[in-house]
Amino acid sequence: MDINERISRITCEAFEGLLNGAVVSAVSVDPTGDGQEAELVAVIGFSGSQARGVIGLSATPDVIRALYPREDSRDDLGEAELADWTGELANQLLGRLKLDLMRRGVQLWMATPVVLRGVSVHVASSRTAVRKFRFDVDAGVFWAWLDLTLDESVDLESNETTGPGAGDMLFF
Amino acid sequence: MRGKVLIVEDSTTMRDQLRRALVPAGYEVIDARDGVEGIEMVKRHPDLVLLICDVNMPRMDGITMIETLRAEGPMAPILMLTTEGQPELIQKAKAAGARGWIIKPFDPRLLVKAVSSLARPL
Repeated sequence: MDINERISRITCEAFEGLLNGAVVSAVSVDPTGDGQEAELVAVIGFSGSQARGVIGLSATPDVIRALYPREDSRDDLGEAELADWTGELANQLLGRLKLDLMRRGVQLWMATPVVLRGVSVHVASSRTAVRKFRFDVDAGVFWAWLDLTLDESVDLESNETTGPGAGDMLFF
Repeated sequence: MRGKVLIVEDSTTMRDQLRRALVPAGYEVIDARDGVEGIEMVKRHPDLVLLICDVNMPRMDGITMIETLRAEGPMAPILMLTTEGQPELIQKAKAAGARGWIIKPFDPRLLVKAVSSLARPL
């Protein structure tokens, strides 16, 4: 598996884990295709000694609302809460990616998410290292993109170690 | 009532999810949006039975917050709730007095069990 396929697989697995069974299908798509009228967009930057980049996700408010874990609260989510939850989804997604990369020896430090409302996202150039993904969920479509630059020395295939994962609890 | 828990977390929806897990379990919940507010709330509420604290927050992160509080004296048990999993961060939190580390997302039932087992007795 080449590095692009590996990164795509890691990203898809992270999203599917994050959305906890809500994903009907997950595909990598041409990043320079049509932009999306997503209305809610969250981005987080990250960096480390061997990797750096940005992760983003976008969806309509209805999709974001449908992905809120507490069904009994979904109708109560106003604009501000939906924007906040979009940022938290991006935060948890990057967290999962970080944990996966950490098990492969790549350390990342992340910023706090920025949420944009009422925008559409379009990847302008095929010359960038942006990978784009489409996730179909019952409520609609959820888009994600990953702009990841890895040092040439990074080998994602070898030396995978164990480590904590999403949902784990450690007590001291 | 099982005691007062402080949640220090910048996400309103995460604070809401935590509140909805803890209040039905009998806890009184107060919250803060970052480490600076968290320190103020700890000083204002010396009767806390537990703190639940995020790591990545604006103004002051969770590790810095608990290190600052530890330097000021004994306090309620601390449970970290975060997307982070770096061993160095976990060790820093442990050294600063944290008793647990949960990687998001959390299971509400398991969270309540963790809080019950770690919370300071009333």
